[in-house]
Amino acid sequence: MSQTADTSVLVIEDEPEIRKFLKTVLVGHHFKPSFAENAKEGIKLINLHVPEIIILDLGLPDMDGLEVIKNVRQWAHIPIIVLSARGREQDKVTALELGADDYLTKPFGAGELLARLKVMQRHMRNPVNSRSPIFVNGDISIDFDKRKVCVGGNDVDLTPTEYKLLFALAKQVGRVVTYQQLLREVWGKNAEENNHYLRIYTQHLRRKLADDPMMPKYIVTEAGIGYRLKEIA
Amino acid sequence: MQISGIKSQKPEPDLTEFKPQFYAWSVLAVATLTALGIGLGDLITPIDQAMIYLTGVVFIAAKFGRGPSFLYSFLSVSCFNFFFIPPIYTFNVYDQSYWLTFAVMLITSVVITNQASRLRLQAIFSLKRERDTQTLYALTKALASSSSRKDISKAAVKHITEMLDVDVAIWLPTNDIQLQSIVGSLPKESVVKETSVLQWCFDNGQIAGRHTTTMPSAAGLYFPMSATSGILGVMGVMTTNSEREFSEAEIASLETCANLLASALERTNIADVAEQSKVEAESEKLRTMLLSSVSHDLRTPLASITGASSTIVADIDQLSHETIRDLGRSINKEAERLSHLVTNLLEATRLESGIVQLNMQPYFIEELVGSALERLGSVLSKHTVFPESDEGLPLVLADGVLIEQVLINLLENAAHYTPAGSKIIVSAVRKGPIVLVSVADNGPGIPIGNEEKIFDKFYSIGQRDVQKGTGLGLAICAGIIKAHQGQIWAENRLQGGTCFYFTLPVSDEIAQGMKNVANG
Repeated sequence: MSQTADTSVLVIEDEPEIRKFLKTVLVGHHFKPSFAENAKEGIKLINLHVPEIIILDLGLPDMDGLEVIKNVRQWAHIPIIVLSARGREQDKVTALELGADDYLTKPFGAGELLARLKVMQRHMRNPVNSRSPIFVNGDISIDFDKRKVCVGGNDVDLTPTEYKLLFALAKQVGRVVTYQQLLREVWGKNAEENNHYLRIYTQHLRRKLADDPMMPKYIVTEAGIGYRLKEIA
Repeated sequence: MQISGIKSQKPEPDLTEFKPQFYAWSVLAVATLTALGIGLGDLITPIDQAMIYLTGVVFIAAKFGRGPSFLYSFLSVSCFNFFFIPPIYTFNVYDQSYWLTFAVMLITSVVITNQASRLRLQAIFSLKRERDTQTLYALTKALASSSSRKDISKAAVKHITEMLDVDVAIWLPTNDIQLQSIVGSLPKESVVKETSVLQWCFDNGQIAGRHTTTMPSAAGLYFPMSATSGILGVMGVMTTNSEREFSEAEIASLETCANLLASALERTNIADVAEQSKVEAESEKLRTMLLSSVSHDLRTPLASITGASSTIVADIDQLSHETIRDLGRSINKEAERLSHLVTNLLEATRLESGIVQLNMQPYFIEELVGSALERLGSVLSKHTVFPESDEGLPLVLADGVLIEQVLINLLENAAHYTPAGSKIIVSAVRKGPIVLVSVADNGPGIPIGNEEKIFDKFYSIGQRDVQKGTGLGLAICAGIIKAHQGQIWAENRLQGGTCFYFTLPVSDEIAQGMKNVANG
């Protein structure tokens, strides 16, 4: 995909002022935005034009934004960023579990929005299955074939569980991964209740990566939602 | 007043009751005095013996009452005739004038009996009355010093039990309809029957149950507690021994107790109503303060935003890039302030209304410090934050989003009150069953004596300046920590500045789980 081609973004948002703000930001940063005011119109436009990225407000007038995610996920993997108010963490988790790729808490700034969009673009350009066998993010590098992890050039000895956890986060680098998604991926379907496993192994992993949980460089905690491996340019 | 003395006094013998041993005493007395007379033989005349018998009747009447005294009189006259009047050992009389002596003896005995037993009764009643008065006095005193419905009921039960040696139970209505036992319970025999008597007594405001015309077969005796505002509840009395019956006097004093209890309860009801309206007035005042405080705090950033944005709109052609950027920055900064304020307001409303459902999950507190610092970002850019924590802190059960909010509010508070370049130290340590988190700054500290007040809503109203928030932040922290069964407080540091502390309990279950994970 060429760098110059503008990425098409569909914004499903009922607030005209926010649409206006998003339009300014998106056009200014070489995205090709289209807009829908409600869920029905949004679903219609998705089917008609198949946008490359969807920005979806969860509080829509005609139906729950979650319904849009369900609808889209039946047939397409278009990245979805949901917009939601603070204090509605459960909505965000549900959206992410249904297949949304990330979220933004209202009110948000242009910077945050662009950072999320860039992560989406990179993931689109570099899908998981065609990714190079060497993953590099800041000081961390992972050799997926050899299952080797280095921090700042030094080998780090990870247990199989710690490696699986880091692998799950690295696959989604820059994107939030919910606690449940991580538990399922690392410990299997029946482990969803064992939140403390996840906490303890994340702590071990952070220690080995020399990542201070109080001032994390790599693994960021999103309270009530999940973990995010920060994307370091 | 010797109230403690009452307890040791045994109930006095009841004069009206038939007591065989009292009659035995009469017989014994007659026998003894007869034997004495016979023993003295010729040293005394029969008339002296009559006097001896008459002296005895005084004691018998005073000690044992009317019945035994009559028996004594009859026996003594008979024995006098049999043993002392010739021909002795017969009931025949040679000297007919002795019939007059017998009559005089009998009449005198009857008169003495009547007088002495009346005196005895009076003595017994006045003793009883004094005891009742003392008990009622003690009860009144105890009721006056109790303030809650529960305490009042307990005091009454204690005193009535002491006074009459009975089981006492008290029921008060909840929601004005359903009676609920405050102290004691129904007798076991027939709960259904007793419940209906109890309810009838409450509904009709009349004494019911045992000894009364309403359901006399019930085991308990029920008194309505009636006051000027209506029937406030029911007092039930059950005898420990089912044979025992209540005397009229006992029922009367129980009624007095029920009335005393009613007026004491009425007093607390009035106090409750007064307290309630005081609270309502207070919260009304708070609401007004909230409104004025919030509208001030909302208007200030709004004014900056309106001013800056309208300048850009009106004069964009005359403004330099630099000026536009400055205006944009101030709009951004003020909008963030507004956003923070609105978040706190919403949080406060949610906490207040009790609709907050804690989403409890295990967390390492360091993670939440990390996410709070991450979210604060630019707010702390002019301060140096030093996070410190013990190695190997245990997991705590917490609502991560809310605890993050506590940390954000505390950190932001520290940033507000200290000049740029100041140090803020966030630390977390384990202290036995809790994790202690602290946020310390080197600001001006809290005015002495206000360490607790700062957690009140709108504390900062009195001494606000534009830089300070509504004071809602700390009240929200207190609400959140309370919901987590933790504690929150503030201290002035010896080296200057303030340190805020809060605690979160370590979950044993989780601690156990950690061990298993570490071992497995």
